[in-house]
Amino acid sequence: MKNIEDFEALSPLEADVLKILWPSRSMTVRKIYDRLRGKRDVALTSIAVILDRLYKRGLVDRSMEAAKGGIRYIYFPKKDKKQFEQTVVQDAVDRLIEKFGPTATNYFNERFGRK
Amino acid sequence: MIEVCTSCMAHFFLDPVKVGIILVSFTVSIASLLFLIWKKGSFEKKIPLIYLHLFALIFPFLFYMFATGCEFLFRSCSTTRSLLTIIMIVVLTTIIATSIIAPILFFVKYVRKSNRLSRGLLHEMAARKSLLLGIKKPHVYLLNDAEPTAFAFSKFKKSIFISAGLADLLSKKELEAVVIHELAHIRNDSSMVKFSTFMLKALSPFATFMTFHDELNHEERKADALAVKVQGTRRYLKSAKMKIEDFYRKKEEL
Repeated sequence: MKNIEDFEALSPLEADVLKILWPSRSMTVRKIYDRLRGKRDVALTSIAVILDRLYKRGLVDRSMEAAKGGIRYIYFPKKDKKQFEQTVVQDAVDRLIEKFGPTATNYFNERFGRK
Repeated sequence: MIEVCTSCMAHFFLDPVKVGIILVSFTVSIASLLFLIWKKGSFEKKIPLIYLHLFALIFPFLFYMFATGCEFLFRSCSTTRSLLTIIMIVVLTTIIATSIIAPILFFVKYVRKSNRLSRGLLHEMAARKSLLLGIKKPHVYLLNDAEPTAFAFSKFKKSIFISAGLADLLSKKELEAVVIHELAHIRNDSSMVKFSTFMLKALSPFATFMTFHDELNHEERKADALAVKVQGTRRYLKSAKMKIEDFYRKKEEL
């Protein structure tokens, strides 16, 4: 399992890029840029950097495909939004238990026992 | 076994002929490096000095290995004939390692990360522009890398490598400018200059503090000039370079 640090902080731009990809879309860098530039001030190079970073973090995957203008990377999410959120929550809980041991488990028992 | 090897080592360094060969080799290595720094003239003419320096630097180590190995195995390797045989083997090994094996390893490293293109926009672009420049079309590889990069390789199989990241960022005209720039390196055989300086910095501790900015910039300017000449404008080359620089800047900032 990846470290929590990999998922902990999604920068606002990373979050915006993932929100575009999450409904199981696969898109080129340029298409994502075209979608985003209407909503925020962003450069094509920024999108390319962010996508490469998300790829290296294992949050998206990519393939090379022939398109009209030549060969391009097509990016697609490795997990959907729900799976991603589950992973973040699981990692956060695991880390709390690892760090605080019985204090954390007792709290969870009380918290969810009350509910 | 350790005692035998220690004895081989002592035997080697007590032999004035062998020590003399090593000292001569190191002297040639230093002299060729100094000559490389001080000699005026085009860098292409200095390339043989680079390989002489590297050869003379590596030769003593290989000579020591073969000589002590021979002594360990055969016990009589100090005759003139044996020494000449060892020297010949070492010379051949060094030449093969620096001028054949190293370039092949360098080439294979990038080919393994790439797809060779036989059709499509990039391939057709390279074919048309090669014809225009009067050179044989090199192999065109698409490097599986999001970082925008492009380079040419003219040893053995003439090839140009363009990364997928670069194809993602650039417009068709900007990509064309980059392709012409890389073809220019093949036409000018300047990838030999780049590769040689890379080998020198990688293998020689003495060259670590040397810079070759002037020589490399000269080759880059020549390739840029040809791209501008073919396209009739520097607009596309300039915007391609700006996008590449911007990527690396954003990589630090974001």
